[in-house]
Amino acid sequence: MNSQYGHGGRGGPYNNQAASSISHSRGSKLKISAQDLMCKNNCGHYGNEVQEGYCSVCYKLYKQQQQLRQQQYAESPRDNDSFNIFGRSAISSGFATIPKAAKLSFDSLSSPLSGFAKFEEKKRHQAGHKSKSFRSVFRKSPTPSPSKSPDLKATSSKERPSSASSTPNHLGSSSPKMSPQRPQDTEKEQIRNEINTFLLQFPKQIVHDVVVKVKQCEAELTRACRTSNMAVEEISDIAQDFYRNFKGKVDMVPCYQSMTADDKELLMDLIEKYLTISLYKELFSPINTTTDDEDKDLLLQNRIRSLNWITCKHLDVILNERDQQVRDYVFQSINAIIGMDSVKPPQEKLLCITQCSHRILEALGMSKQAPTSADDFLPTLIYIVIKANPTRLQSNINFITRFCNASRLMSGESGYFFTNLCCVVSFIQNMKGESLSMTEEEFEDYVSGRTIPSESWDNYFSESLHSMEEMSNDLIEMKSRHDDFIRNVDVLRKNMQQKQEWVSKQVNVILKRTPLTFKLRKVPTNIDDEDVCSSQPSLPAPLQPVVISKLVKDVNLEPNKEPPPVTPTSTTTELRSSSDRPNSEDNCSNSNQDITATEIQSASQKSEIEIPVALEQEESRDIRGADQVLSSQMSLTDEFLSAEEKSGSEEETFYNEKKVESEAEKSSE
Amino acid sequence: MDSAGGGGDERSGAFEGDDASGGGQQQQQTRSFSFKVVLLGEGCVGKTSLVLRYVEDKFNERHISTVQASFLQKKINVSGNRVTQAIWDTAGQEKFHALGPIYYRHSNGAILVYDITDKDSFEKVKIWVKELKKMLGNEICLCIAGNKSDLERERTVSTEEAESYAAMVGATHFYTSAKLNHNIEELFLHLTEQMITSSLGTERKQTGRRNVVVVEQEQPPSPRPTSKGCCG
Repeated sequence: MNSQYGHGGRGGPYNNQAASSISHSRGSKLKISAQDLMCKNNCGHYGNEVQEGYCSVCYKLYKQQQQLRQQQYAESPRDNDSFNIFGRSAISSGFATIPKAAKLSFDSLSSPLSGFAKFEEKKRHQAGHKSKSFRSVFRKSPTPSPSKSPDLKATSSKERPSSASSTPNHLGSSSPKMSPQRPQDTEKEQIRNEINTFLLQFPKQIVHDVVVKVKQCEAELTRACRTSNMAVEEISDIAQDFYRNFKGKVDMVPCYQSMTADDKELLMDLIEKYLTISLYKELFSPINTTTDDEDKDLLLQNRIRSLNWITCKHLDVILNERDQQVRDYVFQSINAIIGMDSVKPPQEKLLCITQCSHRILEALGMSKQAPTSADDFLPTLIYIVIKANPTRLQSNINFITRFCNASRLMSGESGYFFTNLCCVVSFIQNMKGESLSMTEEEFEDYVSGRTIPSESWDNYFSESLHSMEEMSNDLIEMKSRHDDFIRNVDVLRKNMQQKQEWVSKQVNVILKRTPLTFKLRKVPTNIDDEDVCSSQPSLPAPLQPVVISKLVKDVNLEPNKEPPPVTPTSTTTELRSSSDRPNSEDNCSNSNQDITATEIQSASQKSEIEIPVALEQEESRDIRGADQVLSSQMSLTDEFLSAEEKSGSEEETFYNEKKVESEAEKSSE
Repeated sequence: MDSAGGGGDERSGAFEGDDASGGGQQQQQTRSFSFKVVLLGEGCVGKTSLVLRYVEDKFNERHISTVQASFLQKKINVSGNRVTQAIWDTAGQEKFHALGPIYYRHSNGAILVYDITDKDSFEKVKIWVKELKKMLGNEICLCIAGNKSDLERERTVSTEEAESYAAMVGATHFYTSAKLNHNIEELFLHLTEQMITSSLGTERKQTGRRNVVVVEQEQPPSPRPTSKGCCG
């Protein structure tokens, strides 16, 4: 037993009270001991805030007692005069027309109010540290006059949802509208007013007819409710028959034809609202008839409670709960479905379901980026219902089925979502291990609370843990990206190395094939100097050149044109000179420069002959660069030919060689 | 969604003239029907694509503006009758199979979708047909849709088998392709026509609670442009 309670306490949020506190202060005040959730009567069942801290059975008993008390009040002589003397509401109503400030001052002066203010303060205090029911507080607080108590009761139960913000001023201004009895009467009054204002725009004939018919139906329903042994299904039939017949009448009878179709719809809605509000107590999970709605509620509530460990994963729900906005939508949908119990007309209950469903669809849309189908929607609704554990779910569903206009329920969006809710309840009741894809033993273990699976609400509670997880996820992603980067760098490095090796190999091959020697630029030799310094002593005196003047030197050069100043582009002479080497050697025999020049010339000649062969080899070796090589070869041969004609220099060929090399490299890339 | 306001708009101005519910003027009367159509089929057979193609005429998920495809409504005109189709998607997973009856009670028509490349999905259709027949008898109009007909080469459900089965259970068989927008309009139109016929048949009997809201109305003097499939 103990473990079960611990379990319940841990999964507290499925209770209204805790769930609403989640939405208010996320994660701050969520530890609620199991004791706080128990019924105030200590009957062993869980209590509920909506039922003022009682479990549903005790609440019913308590309500009956309360009703009895109120009947006594009602029967006691109470005309307006007596209320004027004692009743706060009557006093306030007397001042209903005076400005608020004046009323406030009156309120602060009046003696009942001092007690009331104390009560308010206590209430706020109570709400501050523990959201318990006010019933106990109210009992303890001294009441100055007995006639005030029903009014206060009404106020307290009405104000409960927003207790923290309520002020005496607010109460004072709202009380004149209230009838001195229960809040139900207030709502009844409101709907009556609404229906009256609506009917004002229509002819008297219609108004009269509507009022008569509705009164008839109301009386009939009341009578049916009072009759014991009357099955609730029969009462439901009465209501449904009335809806159908009245709708038929509105559609057919001539006097109603002045109304537009929209107005007709609205009229039907209002009538339905009026009937269900005024008879809510009798119609909603009635006690005096043969229903067992209460027991079913309890069963369902316990069942859902035992399933509170279920997570998204179990149901294949695709909600991305890490997203803040998705989580907000989830909370909103939970609040909407919980709110269903606090509204009375079936239409408004349906509206709550529709709102809840829309929030779910929005959350799903954000998680998936695709239109949501029922395949995704239904599991999510199951998940939400399990997490919300709405109060008196079965009773509410039955109430809607019985007293909502059937034609509406069967069509339209709200009908669809309501049907889905029915499916959810049915699924939850029949849930087995199989439906969550786990073994029966495992499922039983979880349901009985023997084993507790990890993190059912973790995504919602531990904000910091959640952000830590998010960060660690980011880190993991960054690490993987970093690893990728390093791997890429390695690959690149290896590639570069290979490339380098390949290039150097290629260079070596080419160098081996055509050894590269650099020839210094030829410096034009000064023949005169040469002649002067080296001289030809063998020559006879008259032939010996003698420097006379610059003019003479120029003249002297004319016949000596054979070795002109060698430029890299004009090799004609050199080619020729290589062919008649002895001559040139004779001419400029001892010049070291000249010797190297001729050597290079011969070498270059050799290379010029070799190049085409080498290129052919290259071509066969490297198919990839075939085109470029071919074209370069073509251009090369062209150039070679032209060089033959123009007698291209060795530097040109070297340049070409280089070009081939670079092209080959390019192609290999 | 604009579903709530839809019904009202549709019938506005319906009673402009005198209430003429005389029997013999059938031709002059326009009727409004609202039908509930359930969409049954295993997961991944393309139910969502099918219905989105029909309602929105879109296939690619990136182009679809609606957030949801679980409940969609479309208004069309079929031979002078205004028809509102409410298309209810159902969860196709095996674990939700037992919930079927809750979905399809009070429905006027059912579209059973299977994937022609998936034999199992066709077997599932057979189970549903059996259930539907058991629960609703002949009140419900059935259409069987062999979806993904663009994947003809990967077909595993033979044409003869599918069509003979459909004929046996009194359903109409269609080959559809949501991707190519093939036969989908025809499928829904045929189903709607069937539903109109059947609801006119049951209406004469007037049994118990009606689940179809049939509103009789006189043809307006100048007939509105009956553009098919316009839904405001």
